[in-house]
Amino acid sequence: MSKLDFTDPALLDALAAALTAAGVDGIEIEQSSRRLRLVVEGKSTRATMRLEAGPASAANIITALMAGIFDLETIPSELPRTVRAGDILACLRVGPVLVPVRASRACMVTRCLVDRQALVGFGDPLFDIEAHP
Amino acid sequence: MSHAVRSLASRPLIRSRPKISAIGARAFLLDAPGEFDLAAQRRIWALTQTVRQWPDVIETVPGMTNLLAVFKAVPEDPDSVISRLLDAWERAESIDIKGKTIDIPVHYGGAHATDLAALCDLCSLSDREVVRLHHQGTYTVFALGSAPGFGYLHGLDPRLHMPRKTVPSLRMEKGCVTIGGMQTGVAVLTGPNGWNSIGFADLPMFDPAAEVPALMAPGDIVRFLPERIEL
Amino acid sequence: MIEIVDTGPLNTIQDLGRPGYRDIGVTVSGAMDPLALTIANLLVGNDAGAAAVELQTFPVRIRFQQRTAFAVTGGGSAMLDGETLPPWWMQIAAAGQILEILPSKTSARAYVAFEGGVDVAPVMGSRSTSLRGAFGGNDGSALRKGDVLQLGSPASGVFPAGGFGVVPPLREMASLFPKAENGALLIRALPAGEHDLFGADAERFWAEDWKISAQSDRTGYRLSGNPIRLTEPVEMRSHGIVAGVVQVPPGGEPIVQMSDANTAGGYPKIAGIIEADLWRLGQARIGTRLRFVRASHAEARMLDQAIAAYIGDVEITARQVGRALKAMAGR
Repeated sequence: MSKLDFTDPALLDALAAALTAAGVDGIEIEQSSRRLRLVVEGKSTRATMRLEAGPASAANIITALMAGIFDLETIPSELPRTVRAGDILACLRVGPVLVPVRASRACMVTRCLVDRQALVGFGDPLFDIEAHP
Repeated sequence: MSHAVRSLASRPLIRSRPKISAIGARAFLLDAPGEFDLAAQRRIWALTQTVRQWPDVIETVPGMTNLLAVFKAVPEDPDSVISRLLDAWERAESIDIKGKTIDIPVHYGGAHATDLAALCDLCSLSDREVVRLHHQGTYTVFALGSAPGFGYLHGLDPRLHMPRKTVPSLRMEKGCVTIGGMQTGVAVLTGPNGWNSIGFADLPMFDPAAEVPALMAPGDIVRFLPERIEL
Repeated sequence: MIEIVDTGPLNTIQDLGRPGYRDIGVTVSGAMDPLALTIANLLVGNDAGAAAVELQTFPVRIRFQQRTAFAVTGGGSAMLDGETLPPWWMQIAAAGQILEILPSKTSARAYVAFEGGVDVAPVMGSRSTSLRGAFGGNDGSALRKGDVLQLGSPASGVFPAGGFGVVPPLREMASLFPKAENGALLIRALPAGEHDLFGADAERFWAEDWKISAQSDRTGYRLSGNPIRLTEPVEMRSHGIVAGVVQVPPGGEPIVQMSDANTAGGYPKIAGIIEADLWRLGQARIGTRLRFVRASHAEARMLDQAIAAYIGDVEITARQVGRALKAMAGR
């Protein structure tokens, strides 16, 4: 497993600079079960990254089942942590209603991908998970 | 806390106008001016009949020369509620509810008459005389309250008035015939009770499953029949 | 059906109470925290006033005899077959599963509502247990180990398989229910009939902290603190009362009448708590410190409207979210 953090702006900037220098405008990296597409727009070094929910990647990301405000107050938790299938990782808040985000299988939750109280949409990635060590 | 305790009774509060006060934000209590008597109570009954019809009132609870009106919601203008109540009181004409007559057979004295001796001491009458005065009286149900179906009965001979206990009996049987201050009644629940027991009645006073759960209603006449006297 | 596998004493079936019979001496009863009972019912698709179980002594274990949607609100910490449930939560139990509820540190009473409601015979329009009158609820008794309770027909609610919850009212409406700087519960009240007869002691009543004594139950809370007394005795005539009335017996330590309040009273009354704060008192544990805050009718009305809006919001959103999740699960 890679230890690189693809949400780290410094890393993305470095990658984008390398791609621009190499004269290419994008790259797709497929790594174990995760797919990453990095696109460089024009001459700027602004990079956008998308984690695409392909068949290979779904297993390692927990996504939002519906739109809502990301809520960790109901289920306070330290990461990383080991969870069982069905355990609640967070909630999505719709008005006063809280919809649980549950682990689809026993795994290790390594990282939270959104800010507290952020508005997320359907399919947005919420957590990185890994198989049990 | 089974019956209202009036151990502070000392200075009678006689007013010329009714007093209206709040209990929380959606209940208002009107205390009638004047004496604690049947005339004042008849006017409370009339007021109850009026206020009960108000569309914003959900419950009316007549008490001893007073009326508690519970509103459906907290009123927007509490002052107008107060004037409506005062106005309704001014218009309330004394009514005479044509109540039914309830005869209650009583076993005077015996094991349940735990306070008969104390009452005799207090009023300096013989137990026979106390029993006679009690069963010869004719009583009016002023109001129900305190416990399911419990009627506050007015008309007790002044010689039998006896203050409520400062320390209630911990377990008084349902059915005990009791005296509390200037009123008499029949205990409807077994439990702590501050009234003074002089006998026992078997007649059920309350049936939660019945269409009319309480035997007594305000305005009813109650007579106690000495079924047995055990002194 | 559900079976009470284990229970402490004085846990009862309650709904929103039996109002309308005070004039024949019948206590209103009903949930000590009607807001929590209402939300629990809405989470399982019931009418707000369906009968649920009020728990105030723990632990409690309930076995589901068939697949049942249930919700736990108020205090209490719930586990379904060992899985911890978030607070103010609904979930679907499979037949044979056991719901265990332990006390919570902050709130005194938990409410468990079941899809269809607890189906006991209504008495005088309510399924609430009146322990003192020995009627209503489960034949007028508190829940006992081994009791089996029937549930009503489900209202064909749509429940997401993963369950869901609501933001608890004190979190959602935090700004409306402030605490004192010393942590005391602030309880808003209006002066009552004999308030002014307490003279200077009336001001102390509002200024000083009171503690909920151990002599407190569903009937009433006895408060301990510096006694307050009338400037001179007054004759009182018995009158109707409502929950929230703060009476002062001769000893000078106030009594707050709660859900199983007597219907009549004769002690001098200094204040009446507004209903919008009464549910918080219903959740206050013995030993809690509180302070009374003088309120107005306008404030009480504003708070009632805010609570009603929260309830309405939960009802509508819960239904919409339930449908949306069901639709998603089906595709």
